[in-house]
Amino acid sequence: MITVPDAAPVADPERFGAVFDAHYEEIRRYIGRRLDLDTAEDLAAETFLIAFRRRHRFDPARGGVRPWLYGIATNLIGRHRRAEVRRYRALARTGPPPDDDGHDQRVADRVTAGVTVGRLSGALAGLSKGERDVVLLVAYGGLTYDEVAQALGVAYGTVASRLSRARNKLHTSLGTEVR
Amino acid sequence: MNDFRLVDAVMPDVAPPDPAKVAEARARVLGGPKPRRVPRWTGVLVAATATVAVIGTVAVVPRLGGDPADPAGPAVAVTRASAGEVLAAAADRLARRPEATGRRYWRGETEHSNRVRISVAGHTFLVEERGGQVLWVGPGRKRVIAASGLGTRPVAAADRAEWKKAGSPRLCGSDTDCENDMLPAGKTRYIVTDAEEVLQRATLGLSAREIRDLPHDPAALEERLLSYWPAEWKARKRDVPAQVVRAEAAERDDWLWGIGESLLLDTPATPGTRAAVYRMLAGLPGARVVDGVLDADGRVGVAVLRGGGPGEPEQQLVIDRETGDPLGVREVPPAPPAGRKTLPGTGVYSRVVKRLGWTDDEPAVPKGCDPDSGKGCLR
Repeated sequence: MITVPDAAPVADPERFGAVFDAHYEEIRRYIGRRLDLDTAEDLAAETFLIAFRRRHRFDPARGGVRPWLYGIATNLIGRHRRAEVRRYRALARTGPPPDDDGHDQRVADRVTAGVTVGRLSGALAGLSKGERDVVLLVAYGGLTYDEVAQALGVAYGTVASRLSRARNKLHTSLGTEVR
Repeated sequence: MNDFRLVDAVMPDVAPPDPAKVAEARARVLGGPKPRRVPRWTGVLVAATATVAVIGTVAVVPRLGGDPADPAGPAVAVTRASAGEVLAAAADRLARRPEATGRRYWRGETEHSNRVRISVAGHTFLVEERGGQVLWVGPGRKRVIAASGLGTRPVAAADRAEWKKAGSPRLCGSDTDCENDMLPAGKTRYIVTDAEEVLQRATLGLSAREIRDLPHDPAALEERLLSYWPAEWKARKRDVPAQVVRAEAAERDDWLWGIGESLLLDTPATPGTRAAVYRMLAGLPGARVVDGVLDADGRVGVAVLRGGGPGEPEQQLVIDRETGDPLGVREVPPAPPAGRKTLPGTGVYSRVVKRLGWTDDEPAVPKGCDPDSGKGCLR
């Protein structure tokens, strides 16, 4: 299941497989949307390796499994910060690359209502790393404020502040409300 | 939680994983046991559980208490007429008001502020970042936005004291480390586009003419706007992780609220349509009408409030009781869960109306700020 209610499946190596099966795909997708897909395959596996090694330290009282995994993944993405920003700058110049996975319709659909991939990428490149982490955990992972705070190990108010600030910046650079 | 859905909707997605590669990753992590197939019905079950959880936690938590530190503002006046009657009378007056049509541009001047918590050298304080926006739109006209940085300052005396103790660090318009400040104080950013759409959302674009033609009856307005909902819902179901997309009704109501707010602040909607927006929003499930609410400029109005339950932000729309014009909107982030503390007011976003209406003036755009340059220009 998507949410794992207690620590047992996490700490138990036999049952850690269930955690992998429930969350691998979404973690890979989250990383893949921020970096390239090859890196994402590697980092997603690394996320679960780290989680598996630290499984005894997982404390369900401090939050759920999803924020825990997203937090590990976000830390790994942080090592590739420059590659991520380079990617946004490239998208801002040229728009999305031609899609060779048979998903061109999905990309085409996304260029809608005046906000293109290029313009939004330029705006994302303009966020600080902390702001981008918070925005993309909410946008791609669907995490709540509290889950983002757990994932990043930052205060609740920091999450609220960064989101507020990021929304202002995106509004200013896109000229449209970001919701 | 539907913030930043635009980012999710617009940015490219990744192809689903190759099962062989997943098996490889699984073996790398777990040392080789065969992958267990995730049953197809997992998503359905989770969606059902999520629905139950949402229903179970819907509680109306009035946020408008008497806490003076709470920028949501205390209720200041008790009027004899019910709040609903005050809103109805204001909406009626607005709907009857003649409009100076035939002018070239509709101009909307607003100011916005974010309350942001900053920690420097062990000192924590709240600052308010302020910005102004002048929007110019009109049928067949360029759309021009001039966004100005109005500066950042500690919110209260206690915040100022902490800021000084931290060594009076530089405060910039909209950035954590001041490296990517989009709104430096005293500067104006111009964004000019030829886009027909005045109201833009991930799957919706309405031109100035289409907005002028929107119905004046709240039910008809809602029906018209909801005719655009199926496309949006389809996109959400496709793009948003299944475990976080909520029941359709909740998603739809949030979407309608956002569209309503934009129609009021950022479009040349007619007075009749504006009055219908108020009634439509006040009629949404969970919406409350409260009289005597202050906007961020301290002006008193009648307000439509929505949300504010555990884990969800509260949306506020404050309306002038006499003229029926919108005074401002505010979004208050969800209160932190028990045991977690934050400075009151952190993350509150406010926008106030300075002036809205038709004009014969032209926007003054500096040379070199071309339409669709993509970046806008800072002067």
